Amino acid sequence: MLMSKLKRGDNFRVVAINLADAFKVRLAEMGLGVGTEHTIMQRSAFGAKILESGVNGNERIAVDAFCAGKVEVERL
Amino acid sequence: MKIALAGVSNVGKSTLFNALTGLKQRTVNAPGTTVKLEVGVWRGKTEPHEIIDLPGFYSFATISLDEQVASEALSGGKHIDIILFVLDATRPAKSLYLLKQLKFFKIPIVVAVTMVDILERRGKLLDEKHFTQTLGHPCIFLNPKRDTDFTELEASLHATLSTSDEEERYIKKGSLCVAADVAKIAQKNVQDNLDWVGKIEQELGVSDGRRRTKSDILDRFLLHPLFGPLIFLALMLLCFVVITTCAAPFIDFFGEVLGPAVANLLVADNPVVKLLRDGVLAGVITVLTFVPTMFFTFIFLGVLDSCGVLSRAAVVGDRLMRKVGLDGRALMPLILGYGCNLPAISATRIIPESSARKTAALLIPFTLCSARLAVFITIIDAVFPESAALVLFGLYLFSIIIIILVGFVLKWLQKGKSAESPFIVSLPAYQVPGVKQLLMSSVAKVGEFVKDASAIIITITCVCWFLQAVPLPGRVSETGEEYQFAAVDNVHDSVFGVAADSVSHIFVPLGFDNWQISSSLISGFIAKEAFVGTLEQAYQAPSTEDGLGKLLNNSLAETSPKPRLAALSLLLFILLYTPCMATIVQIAKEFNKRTAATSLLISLTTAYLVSLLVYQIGMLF
Repeated sequence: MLMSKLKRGDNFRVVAINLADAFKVRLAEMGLGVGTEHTIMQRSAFGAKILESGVNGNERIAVDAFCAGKVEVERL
Repeated sequence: MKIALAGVSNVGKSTLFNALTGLKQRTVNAPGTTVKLEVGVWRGKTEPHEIIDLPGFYSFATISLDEQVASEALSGGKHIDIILFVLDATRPAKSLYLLKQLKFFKIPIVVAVTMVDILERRGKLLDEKHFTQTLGHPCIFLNPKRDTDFTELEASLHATLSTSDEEERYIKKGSLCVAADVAKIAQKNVQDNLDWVGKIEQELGVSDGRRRTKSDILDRFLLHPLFGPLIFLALMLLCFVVITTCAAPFIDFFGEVLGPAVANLLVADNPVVKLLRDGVLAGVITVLTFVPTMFFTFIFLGVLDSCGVLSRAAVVGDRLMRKVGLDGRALMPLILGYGCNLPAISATRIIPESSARKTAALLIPFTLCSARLAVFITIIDAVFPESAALVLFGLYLFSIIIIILVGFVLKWLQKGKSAESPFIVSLPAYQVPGVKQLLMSSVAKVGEFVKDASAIIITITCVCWFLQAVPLPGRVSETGEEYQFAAVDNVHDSVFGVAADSVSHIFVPLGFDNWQISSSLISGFIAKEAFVGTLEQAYQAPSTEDGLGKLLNNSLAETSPKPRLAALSLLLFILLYTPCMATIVQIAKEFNKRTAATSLLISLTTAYLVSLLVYQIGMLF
């Protein structure tokens, strides 16, 4: 399923990222690489998602609806 | 010592820059780009140091021009002696990731660790020595909002630089790396770097794990899908109202007290005194009237930025603004434009991505600023007294529609250059802003504006005065005497009048080919505040029994069979053509002359075409 379908509080693992390489790298650098696990902290306006991220889970990153629609995930 | 201040966004880098440099700072464009770099001088105990505040960036695997500028400045850093790296102790992972990449260059690094006080309040005991040993670079704990003594930091920078081996530095080995190489290396080492970050973060003992913070609780409201946009809209409107309200008494003081008071001292009837009064003084007052709005705008934007609110605004408004090729943060400058275009142009600095910043600057001149409002009220009262509110509301609405349409066109023109890209941003923790640093930084920015813009604004007002002072040969005054230089009572008898006459022919298809209106449009190009004054002067309204409104109505009735349609065409032209020369000067300063010329071209073309279409289509019915 796509990250865009997730709700607040959902835990998930990233399965695939269907974006250009540069953005895949950026997401990975921000801790959102394939295989990483996260929680949806908040759904925001226009389909944006706020994620718990970072190596130790204390970073917050926001991705827009376009990005959320390109990240394949599995719910945990 | 030449210091590069580097770090990811929202870690307190700009606050530290303001604390170190005070008023000794200026903004420059990175060579060949419109990316802003803050450059300042830190008056240290031993010697002055030059500091470059690089744009915040996450990684050398760059995805925007601004990140590329920061990357190139460091990777080709032959002009940089040392890096002062700013690390946010509360959310260190992203900072550590960048630090790991910086280690590659072997440029000496000193780490300024910020937000330590927040962790200490959470009961964590942190130690500078432990940080220094773990990171492998000297670490200094700082609170840039509160600290005033940076002696320890300076000593550490000196010590680090003196013990570094220049020959060892990557860039000195004759293999000056280019940003593209660095990006490739960065892309390859993502997992290794992340592993290192995880290990170091554990060793530093700063991690709170997966705990909910106060910022998370606040985000429940500010980033709420429904309430979030409403809260931000309310916040922006509040800023707009407070900025204009706070600035109003100062603007009135400059325009209505100081200006006339100084003018009253310049009463001698000779051309030099007249030039000083009506040219130089008029220019100085024009510049001064912009200062209060600029100052309060910088203060408010600084507060919102350092609180961490602007990053959230970007999230909330992003999807909406993306439709017209903008970043979510562009909402703020655009709303400010409805107060005054000039600070709104400066406010585009909050947009990190330079092409979005440029698009915002090209759209801002279409916002209905308060100076235009005064012009509209005069014309609407004269021509549409029975439906004044409706017409004014229509103009506001039309301004928004034009911004969206022009935004679409600009986005369409740029389509070949960039495909749709995802928006990914790290959210900082909310924090209280540093008042002193904000004041210093705002004063420095306003000072920079006054220094850069005053020369050109005063020159243009002087040129205008000169054109109005030179009489046309053969023209005589009402008393039948030949005009002397700088004693032309009727503007129409001056060179300025000839220019207005010539320009008026261009407006024939728009329905208002009248020299009085044309002369006001020329003055309005300099500043919309001058529009009504010039119109009164051209009609000699104060000395006639008829009011300005009736004279304007008569003129429109002479130039068009449908005077109300011609008035609407005129209103739309005023709404859309260049707001004032100060805005153009500011665009040239913030970006470059080419962008200023583009803005001028877009504004004038849009204004002319829209007025032409409205008038000519209206004439068909």
